[in-house]
Amino acid sequence: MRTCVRAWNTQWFGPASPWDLGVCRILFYGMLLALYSPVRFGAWAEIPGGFWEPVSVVRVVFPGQPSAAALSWIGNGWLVALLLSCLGLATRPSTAAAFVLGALAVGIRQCFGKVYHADGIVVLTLGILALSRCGDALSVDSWIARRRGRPPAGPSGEYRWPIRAVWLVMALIFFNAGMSKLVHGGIGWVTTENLAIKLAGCTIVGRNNNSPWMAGLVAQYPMLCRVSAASAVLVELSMILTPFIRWARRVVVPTMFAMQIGMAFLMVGTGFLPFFVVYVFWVPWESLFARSRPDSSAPPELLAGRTGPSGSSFGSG
Amino acid sequence: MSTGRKLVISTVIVGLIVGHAIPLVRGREHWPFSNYPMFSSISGPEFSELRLVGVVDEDGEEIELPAGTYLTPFDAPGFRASLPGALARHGDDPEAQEELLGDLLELYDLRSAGHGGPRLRGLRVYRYAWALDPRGEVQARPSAREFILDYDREGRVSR
Repeated sequence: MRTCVRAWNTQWFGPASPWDLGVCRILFYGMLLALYSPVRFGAWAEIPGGFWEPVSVVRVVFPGQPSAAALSWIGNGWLVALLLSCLGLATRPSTAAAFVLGALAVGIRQCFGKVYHADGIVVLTLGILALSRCGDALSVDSWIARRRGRPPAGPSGEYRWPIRAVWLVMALIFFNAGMSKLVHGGIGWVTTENLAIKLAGCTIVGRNNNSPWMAGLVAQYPMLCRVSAASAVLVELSMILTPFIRWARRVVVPTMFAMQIGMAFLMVGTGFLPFFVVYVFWVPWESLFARSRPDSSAPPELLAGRTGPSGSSFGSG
Repeated sequence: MSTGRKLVISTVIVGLIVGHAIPLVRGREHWPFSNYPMFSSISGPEFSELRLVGVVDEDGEEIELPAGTYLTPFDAPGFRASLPGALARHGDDPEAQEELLGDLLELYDLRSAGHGGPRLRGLRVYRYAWALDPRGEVQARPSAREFILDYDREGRVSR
């Protein structure tokens, strides 16, 4: 029992510098802001009421289809919270607001008969960061704290678990996707012409935002399709190892990323964009930065926190 | 980190695991958790989907209405997934179907300044079918088209 507790603590709460989490915070919220700024949230109120089929998260707040004004307030409030969270200004309340408003702003488009599968991870990551101390480094809050004479944040488990929890969420998502293929399709998902036919479906003009010829080209090679299908299931299932095993992070995550790029071109167009934002949590930012600045002219916060393996490194245990 | 804080965080982590396990076991989505069933069924060579087209003039000339262009904030995948469910919910109720298609026409009109499409006399719903051939060409035309519903601007629905 004690060994299990120790292993659990090491996995989630081993000391890590606040720097990686700070970089992830800036990139995650910043990219979400860029991605969702052009969205007119109020427009969802104009969708015919006959399509209204709310998911439970939204139904709690809006049993009926919300008004354009309410949606605009939520959407614009969310964008402001994303900006504040990115800057690290009033980080705890702004990340909490980004989570609550984000669950509604992102949730609203799930309420018209289609669940967008790249959106769930965004909300779950917002929730994880809302619980974290992601504003302890590389933030306006930390700058103000230093001006008031407080020492910079040192290594702590507080900076390790949020990154690993995001890893876990991504791993579980892909594991579920792989399992669903085995449960619904069985081994035939790999051994039949299934993937080739799916790709042929993507050649139907007007169905996707991508170039149909590319899917058509791949579909013409049945063996390539079978190997791709087998690889897809294998890599998706292997993702479950990545939060816990170093080599899996080094091999499986980049492979998964490349696979999603391929799927974006062949099948789903821009549908994965929100998903790609979350990949920033897999990058060992601190190591990369330290490697690119061998003269140690790194920012003071980095140097202050650089005492052990960081939480988001591919290489850390 | 305090033990209490570790307990709270550990509960959240276990919650994330359980949250993802439930949809997988039940085979149902509980957004933001899901069993991620996209592309998971085995596809056969026959493929069909409902499509909405606009009726432009008295001769019945039709134009395709890609949702991402004419019916925003719907995008093409979202509308494609939503339309069958919305029609099925009102399957036995002509008045509800009339209202649904009337609202869609209103949405088309509302977006007309942006998409610049012609004024429509009405809307039609078809089931398009394709015989998929993996070794074939890019498929611009369906192999079959079945008429489902017609709605004109006066509010008449015919099947």
